[in-house]
Formats: sequence, structure tokens, C-alpha cells
Amino acid sequence: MSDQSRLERAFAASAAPARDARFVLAVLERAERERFRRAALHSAVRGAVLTSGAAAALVMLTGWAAAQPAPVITEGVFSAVALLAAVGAARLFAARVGARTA
Amino acid sequence: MTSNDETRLIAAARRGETRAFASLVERHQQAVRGFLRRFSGDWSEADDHAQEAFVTAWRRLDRFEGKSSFRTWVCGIAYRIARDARRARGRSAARETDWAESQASMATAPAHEDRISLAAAMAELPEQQRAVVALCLGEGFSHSEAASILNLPLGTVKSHVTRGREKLLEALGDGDE
Repeated sequence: MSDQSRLERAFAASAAPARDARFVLAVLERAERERFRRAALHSAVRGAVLTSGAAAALVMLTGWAAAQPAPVITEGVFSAVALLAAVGAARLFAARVGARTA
Repeated sequence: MTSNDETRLIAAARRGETRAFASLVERHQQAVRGFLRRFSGDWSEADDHAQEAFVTAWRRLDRFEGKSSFRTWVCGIAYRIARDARRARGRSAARETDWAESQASMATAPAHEDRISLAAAMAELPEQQRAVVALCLGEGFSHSEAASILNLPLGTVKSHVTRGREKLLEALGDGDE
């Protein structure tokens, strides 16, 4: 056998199989894991931004309320903020439930 | 598979269709894994990098412009992943030769001995030359495809193929003695 033929045979020994369902499945699983990890990270960052924003707004609102002479105004504003927060939370919850059941 | 089929599969995979992407992986896994196996010498590491290359390709599919074939594009991604991993690990050529030598102790049949001699000789080649040889001699890529994958001038690829083949043939010849 010529050296060239031996070289070709030796190279052919390292060939990957033409079809390999397990490899394809492993790639898809890995892609799914990565997508989940990215989604979780994105969700955590969004949650942290929203929480810190809400905390900052609450501090500002409390400071503003302390400076108000009439309690009727502060009570009204706090009620409106609480109502908006409740509606926002309900919508967020409904969207998440909808996404999971879809 | 025609290039139209491939274009359709790529468009579907871009839209997030898992089945289309799975078809692309199925059709090109042999070339990518074969190239990486010959480039790294370690099959399980090569398969791991090949998986990573396909996942990266799916994530970056929007950047695929179609200037080269999908196979060429993915092999380019795979090459950079494997190369960067090797550099990060700082694996020396000596360690690669150690791996090949450990396999040599198990050699029995002449064909097996050739495979071991080839693995040892591949490990001795410079990084770019090994990649060119793995692509052109191992997987049958054209010189221009290899140039595109490795981002090298065509002339450099041709000279790497010629010199690489000479070194490998020499190594196989030495193995007879």
C-alpha cells in the first residue's frame, strides 16, 4: 500500500459518523439550556431594576408626603399609587400565567 | 441537499424553528466534528467544541450573510472556539504528543499504528498548518474554503497543505522502521 493510501486510511479513521441523532440531541439540549440561562438572567436583571426603581420612588414619595400639610392629599396619592401597583402586579401575573399555559 | 434547501432551512432556523436547525446540525455535524477531531486529537473535546460551535451558530444566525456556505461558516466558528480553548488552557505540544504516545502503547494492527503515527505527526504541526491539513486532507475542503474558514491567504493555505502532507508522509514512513 502506498504512503498516500495509508495517509488517507489513517485520516479516515478519525471521521465522525455521517448520521448521529445523539449528537444532534445534545446540541439542541445545550441550546435550550443556554436559552433558559439567558432568559433567567434577563428576568433577574429586569426584576432588580424594577425593584430598585420602586424603592426609590417610595422613598421620594414618603419624603414628599412628610412635607405636605394636608393629609387628604397624601392619602389620595398613596391610594392611587397602591391601586396602580396592584393593577400592574395583576397584569404581570396574568401575562406570566398566560405564557406558561400557552 | 441543494443550496435552496439550505437557504430555506437557515431562514426557518432564524425564525426559531428547532426542527430546521436540527436538520442543519444533522447535515453538517460530520464535517465539523471530523475537522475538530483531527485538529485537536481529542475526540470528546472535539465533539464538545462542535456542540458549542453549533449553539453559537444558532445564536448568531442573524449575522450569517451567506457569502460562504453554512458548513464553511460553522467550521470557522468551530475553529475559533477550539483554538481559543487550547490557547486558554496553554496546552503544550509536548502534552499532545504524550496523548498520542499513550495511544501508541495500545497499537496492534498496522492501520492502528498509522493512525497513532498520524496523530503524533499532526500534534507536531504548527497550529495553522494542522488546521489546514485537517480541513483539506482530512475533510476534503477546497483550498479556498479553508482560506475562508481560517481567514488565511490562499497561497498560505496551499503551502501549508503541501508542507503538511510532506511531514505526515514522512512520519508514516518513519513509523515503518
